[in-house]
Amino acid sequence: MTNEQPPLPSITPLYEPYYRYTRQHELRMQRCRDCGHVRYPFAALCPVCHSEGAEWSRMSGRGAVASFAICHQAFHPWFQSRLPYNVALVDLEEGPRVPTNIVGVRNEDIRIGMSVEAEFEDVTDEITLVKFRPRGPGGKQDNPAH
Amino acid sequence: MRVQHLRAMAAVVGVGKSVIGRNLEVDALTLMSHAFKAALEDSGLKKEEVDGLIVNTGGAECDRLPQLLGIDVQWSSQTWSHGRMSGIILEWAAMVVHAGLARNVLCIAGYSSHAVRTRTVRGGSGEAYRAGGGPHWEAPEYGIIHPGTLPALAFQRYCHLYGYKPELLGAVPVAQRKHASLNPDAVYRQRITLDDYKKARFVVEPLRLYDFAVVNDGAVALIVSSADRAGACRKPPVYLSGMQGMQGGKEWVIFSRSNMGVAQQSLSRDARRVNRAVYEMAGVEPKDIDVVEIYDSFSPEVIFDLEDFGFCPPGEALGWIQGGRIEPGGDLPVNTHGGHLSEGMLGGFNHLAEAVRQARGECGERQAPNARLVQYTLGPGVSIIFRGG
Ligand SMILES: [Zn+2]
Repeated sequence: MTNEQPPLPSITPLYEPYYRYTRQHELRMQRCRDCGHVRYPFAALCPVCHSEGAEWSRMSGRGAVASFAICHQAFHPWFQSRLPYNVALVDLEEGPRVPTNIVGVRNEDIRIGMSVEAEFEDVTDEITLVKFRPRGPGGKQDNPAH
Repeated sequence: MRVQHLRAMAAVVGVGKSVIGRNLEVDALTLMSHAFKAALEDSGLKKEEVDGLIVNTGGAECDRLPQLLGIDVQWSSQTWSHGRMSGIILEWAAMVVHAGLARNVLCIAGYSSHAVRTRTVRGGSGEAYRAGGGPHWEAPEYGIIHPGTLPALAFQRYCHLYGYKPELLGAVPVAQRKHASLNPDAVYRQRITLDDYKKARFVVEPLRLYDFAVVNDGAVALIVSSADRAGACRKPPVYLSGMQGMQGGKEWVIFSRSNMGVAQQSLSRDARRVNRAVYEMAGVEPKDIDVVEIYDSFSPEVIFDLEDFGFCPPGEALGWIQGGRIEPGGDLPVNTHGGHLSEGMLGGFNHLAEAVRQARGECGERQAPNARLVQYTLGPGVSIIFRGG
């Protein structure tokens, strides 16, 4: 169990740029060259206008918690020693709703609507995950240690 | 009943189930064989008359199964084992017999707990690790691994939007266990109270142990025939009176109320889908439905479907179900067999079997009085209204 690796995403060609940027601690997503829609999940076509053109546009990293849940059981050995851990959905300012974890706050203090900002966690040389921590006076005052 | 009318083009003429249990020492094929034999007997058909087959991928391919069951089929197919395909299989069979491609189509599914466990507990088969998320938008790198995480997220948001205490959800498993206590086939028959519910451990908070489907083995078979042949079978036909297909779209995500819980884009966030096709085809309204069998791998699905299918307004279901409304003897009995939460997880096929039996009025102690219109619903939009003869 001690050598257990965390579950990692597979990097497909569509997702390669996303992870290339997160390695540099930048959160970028596909933005449609024609209509400006931010495309997530990543795709070959814009779901709004069907344009194939997109650029990897830098996101502000700011968002709000859309929902969260607390896992009390590990469904992968990696999480056994991390129980209970939170999972969350964050609405980015630019539109997408992304799966993530909230860091820098106790599980019982997470709230829907809470303002959060992106933080980067280097998991391996290849994979850097985007997580979110509370933003603004409330969050920071509540959690000075983080 | 005019057979040429779309709403009466096909009927279920036979239903059979294997034993349902946890860690049975039998393979899915054996269970499917038992379910088929029971369905055949129920229908009064001879095996030589079964000439169509649709199977989920729970244990046999559609070319292997006919050899094992001793049937010669002229039309067959198979789907993925995910339970959301079960209603679709029945609709598909109805279209096949209506089109004349086969006369009597066997719809069959088998589940072994081993397969379920490897799929859910480790996010196995690589399914949960697909780029962009697994089939239930799993994201294992963040610990979103168990499919129950998604309804937990959706339900948390639901409670936030409408101002509910999450523990009110206990009314669902309590009601379903009450139904299951009247069902000799059910895996769990011991009644529970709201207090038991509140004392149970969280699995994915706010969901507790009783909010999750049983993990078990079992098989179900249903035989669908065209309406003009159905009358010659042993029992009164149960017509597929209304049907609605599986929906998908930019904002669609499983295990959520339509578009509410886990949207992936900002195009129409929190917009509400309207499920009307099934009622229009059947020529009825939600208030006419006597019993509902709701696909329930997780309790919140019951809440979301009651709203999405118009049994109560958006945001009201969690209050609406309190006080016994969906229990035996309630205004709208829901999951009269106990559902996945108590009878067992058979991918919704057990809900379809129960719907047919309720519409026939043969459910014994758990029979809802005067049940003639019985509806099956599944979050992504699949629905069938069964009409007893
Ligand atoms: Zn576009």
